Amino acid sequence: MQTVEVSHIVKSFGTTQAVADVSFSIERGEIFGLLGPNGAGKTTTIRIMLDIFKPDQGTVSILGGPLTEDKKERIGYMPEERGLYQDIPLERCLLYLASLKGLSPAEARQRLKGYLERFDLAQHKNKKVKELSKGMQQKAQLISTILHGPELIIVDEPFAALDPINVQLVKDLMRELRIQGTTIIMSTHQMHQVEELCDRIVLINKGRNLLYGALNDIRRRYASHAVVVRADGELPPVAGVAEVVPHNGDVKLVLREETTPQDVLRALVAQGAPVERFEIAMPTLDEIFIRAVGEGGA
Amino acid sequence: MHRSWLVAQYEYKRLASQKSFILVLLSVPLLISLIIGLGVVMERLENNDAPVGYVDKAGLLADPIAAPQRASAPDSPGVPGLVTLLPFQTEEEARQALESRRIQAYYVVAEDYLKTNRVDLVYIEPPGENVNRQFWDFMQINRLSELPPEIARRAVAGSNLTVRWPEDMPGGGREFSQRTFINNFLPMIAGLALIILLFISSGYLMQVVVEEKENRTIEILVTSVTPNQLIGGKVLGIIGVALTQVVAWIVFLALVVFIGGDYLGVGFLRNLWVDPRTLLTLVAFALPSYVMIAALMASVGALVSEAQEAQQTTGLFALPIWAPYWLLALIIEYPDSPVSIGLTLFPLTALSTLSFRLAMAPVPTWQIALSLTLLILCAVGAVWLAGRAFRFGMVRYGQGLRWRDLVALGTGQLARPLPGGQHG
Repeated sequence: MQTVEVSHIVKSFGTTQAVADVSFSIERGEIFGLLGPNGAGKTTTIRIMLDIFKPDQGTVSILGGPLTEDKKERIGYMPEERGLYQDIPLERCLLYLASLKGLSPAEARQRLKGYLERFDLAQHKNKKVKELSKGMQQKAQLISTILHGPELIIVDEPFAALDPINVQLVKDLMRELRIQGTTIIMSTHQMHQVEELCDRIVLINKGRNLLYGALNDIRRRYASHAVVVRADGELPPVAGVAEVVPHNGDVKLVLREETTPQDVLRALVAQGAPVERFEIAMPTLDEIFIRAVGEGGA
Repeated sequence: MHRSWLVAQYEYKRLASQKSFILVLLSVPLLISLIIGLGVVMERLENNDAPVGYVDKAGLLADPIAAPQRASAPDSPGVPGLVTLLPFQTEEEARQALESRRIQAYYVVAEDYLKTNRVDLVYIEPPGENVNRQFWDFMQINRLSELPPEIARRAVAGSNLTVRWPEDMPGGGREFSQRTFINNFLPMIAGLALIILLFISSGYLMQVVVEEKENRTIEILVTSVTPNQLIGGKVLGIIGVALTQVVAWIVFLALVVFIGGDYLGVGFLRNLWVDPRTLLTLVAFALPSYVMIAALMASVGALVSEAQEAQQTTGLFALPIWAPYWLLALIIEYPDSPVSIGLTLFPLTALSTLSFRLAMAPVPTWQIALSLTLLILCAVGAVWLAGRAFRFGMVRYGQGLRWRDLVALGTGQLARPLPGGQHG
């Protein structure tokens, strides 16, 4: 059973079409990247999934069917920016939001204690939310999203305002949750985080699917016919190489159409070249994003 | 319902712990205490309870009858306002008593008083205002000594015009008494207090909703509760806060009346009384009025983007609610006129109009019943409308409120969420 199934949703506001045709499905226990440039329709898609908006067309299935009031307790949502009451103490705010998710006060307190300590917020629990730094508020918001132990988590820019230590903390937490079987939908512009965490992605632009599938498959699809080589010294000339390009201190060999990477590796070894690193040149997700959006927008 | 209750509890605790709530809660008791305290102090300063003497040369007070107590004077001796009148045989004895401070002053009733009405007052320092009042009552009743004492006392007590409605008509048995006329204005004062409270509470609710939108908290909330549960809970919480204030004020007022009237001898407090039926009627109207206005304010909060815009929009409700105060003279003079009846039946003006009419005369039961029914229906409708406003306005950021949005919301034409808040 798919945890989330979004099928050909369409949403317009007046004359503006926010979502033209978006479809994807997410399996239990995966981290799924919902990507796209600003204004692509990501937030509208999330709001349709959460039943804040009704789609004009298409269907959404969450946790095995339409979103019901009971299912809301099984979902955690962290909107981009803010989301917490600013004028009340942190602990009170988080306990209240947890109570709305069906958590008993005792259970909520117990869980909150652990999370506050883990996120280094325990000594700030009596401070008003507005008195906390942006990074602290971001962590607090994440706690609010996961405190009730949801099966599905939707997070919009989870790493915003976090320093590298806290980014690592959040990444570890997300991996932990995935191991526990929690499904995570992550919308972010930080592509390197997506590369590290996500199993699959959907890239939407102008309200439509642009790329969709397993991250490795997509990268392979966008891989150029080239290899990256690092050697202790200068590389000898190799037959079948069309172009040699410097690449972050290494060398990128762009191959002719009929040449395979294995041909090049064999030729280098045969010539006794001091090869330290040899890999197929895979594009970064940033490069794929720019290329796909550029092509899609052309 | 459980989630609405959680929201209600949260809103109640949040507001009840705010300094502004505590200030409002204490402001009325403090104000009343201040007014009454000043009154008591002034009365004490003006009055002097030391004995007063008299020398009766005319022989009118040989076998004196005690004067009746005025409404403002307490019955028991030794309490403020009541002085002891001491007879002296000669002016010399009286003067010695004055000089030795046993009395604060003495009156000399001239031998030819019946012809000249001459009475001299002798003092070292001017006596309290209560002294003259009491001495002249004393003189008056003793001039009427040929009459039976109870008749003499009644004559001195003077007139007290009382209008009483027949028992067999709605609101029958009510009185409008000359001496206790302040009681008849209490429903108006209570109505005004309730309306001010209504504005404070519902204004707070509107502010909360605007803040929730600004903070995006609303997006988290609606993924936990339905808009109707949310608005229902918030309105319940606000009503809880308002009731707390009303009950606190009533308890305090009751204490003031009890302590001030019975123990401190403040005359007007002893006669203070409100018809419980009138009070209950007002409370019955206040509750749905609170629900209605709070829900309407919450709707505005959900539709607008900024607190300032929300404040401006509240004029929509404030104007009709205050309208009866502009027409106060008309309603008081003609409580059964079509205008008064119309304002009683119109939900936004019902509470204030009724508080005026109940002060002046009984209001026919059918009008109360019809008005209350309309008010309750409107309150339910307002909560429904607020739920729609939440649904459509909660993710509408950075846009001003347009009239056509309100009309569309009210007529159900707003089939889709309003544009706005599209991020990515």
